[in-house]
Amino acid sequence: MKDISFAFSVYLLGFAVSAVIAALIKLILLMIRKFSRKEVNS
Amino acid sequence: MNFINLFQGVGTLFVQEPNIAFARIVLILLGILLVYLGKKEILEPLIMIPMGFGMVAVNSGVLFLSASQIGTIFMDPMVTNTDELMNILQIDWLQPIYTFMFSNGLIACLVFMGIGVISDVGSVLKYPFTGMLIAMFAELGTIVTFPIAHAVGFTYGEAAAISLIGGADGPMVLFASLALAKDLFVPITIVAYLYLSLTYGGYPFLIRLLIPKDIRGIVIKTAKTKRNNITSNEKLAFDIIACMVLCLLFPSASPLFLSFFLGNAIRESGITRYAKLLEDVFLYSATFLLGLTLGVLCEASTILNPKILPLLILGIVALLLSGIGGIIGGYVVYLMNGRNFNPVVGIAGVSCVPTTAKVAQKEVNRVTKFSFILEYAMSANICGVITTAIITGIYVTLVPLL
Repeated sequence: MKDISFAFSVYLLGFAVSAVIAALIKLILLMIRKFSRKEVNS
Repeated sequence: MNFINLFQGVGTLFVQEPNIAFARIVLILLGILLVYLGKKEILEPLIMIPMGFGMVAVNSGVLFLSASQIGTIFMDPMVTNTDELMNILQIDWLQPIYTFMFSNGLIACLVFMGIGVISDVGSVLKYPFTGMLIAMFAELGTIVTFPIAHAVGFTYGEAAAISLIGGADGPMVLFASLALAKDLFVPITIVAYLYLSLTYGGYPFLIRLLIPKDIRGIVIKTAKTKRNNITSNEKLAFDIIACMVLCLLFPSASPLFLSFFLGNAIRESGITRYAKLLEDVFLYSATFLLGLTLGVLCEASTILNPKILPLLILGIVALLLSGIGGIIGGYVVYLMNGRNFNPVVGIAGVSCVPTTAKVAQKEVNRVTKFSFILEYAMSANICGVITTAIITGIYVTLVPLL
């Protein structure tokens, strides 16, 4: 039972970190595009 | 001078224990078979040809090192005493490669730099959530195999290293098994590399079994906008930030993260000389030495380890579960996107770059020539590398605390 709960927690942690990385990718793209648009406008 | 002393490779077969002598002959034949299967491209030739030669030579070239000792002059992976190591480094010709490149994980990092150079993260940046979701489903094998392996008698470290075979990422298994299962890292890594080739041969059948033909032929409709084009600056920004975040979270796997993202950053920076160096020199020389070293590590005592048989079975289970998990992930995205997605992409979540992505596209093309899923498949594939590195990082960090 301990093994299964450990494996499950590894999976949940992995899922959470993956979601953070995916959100980070979106954020990076958003910020870069926002700044580059500002540069073009100025 | 008698026959045994004159031709010691043959002579030692008669003085060793019969099971060792028999295992040597089996491994010589297996080495020849690997070279043949590599040449026929049934197994990965880049690894299998040097590995097969290594197996043949190490099991043939056994000699009398002293009056009471039989061995080879290739390498000694079990040496721990520093003085002894200094002596062996001057005699065993592959010992410097093993000590300074293999046992510290450098070779895995060099391979990872090369993988970074050949990977285009543009597709990951286009579809990050889809890619990551599928890739995490495809980690099913790396998770479920862990309690099974522990239940059949492996230690926590060994169970974690074995379950990572499900990630289908050779350098990652090598890195993890060196950190968590030093005593068993040779058979685990050999099984991992042998099974990587099975993804190419076995996964198409899994896809056909789990996904009906009409669904396999789905053409994904995408809205084409200018915003879909990912620039090299954006990819570079992703590389540096993802590297920083992952290193902050899992320092024990930071050599792998650095290697992958640095390789990719060099590609995106347009430093063609470095990119060529990493791809043409580092990646191929590391792969060659990896195959050769793995082959030389396949000595008779390795195959006689009683843990080999359960290891072989668990490796298959891990890869099978990961494939099934990936396809379930494909179905989840298919349902989430209102059936405008091809679930075959799911198999590419298993991070065998770029094999599983190619398998996915090939299977779709068997049904229709008009469905192009490679971009989605590469996204899932590279996300698979990242998620396997994340799971490796978690295992390497948490397992020693158990």
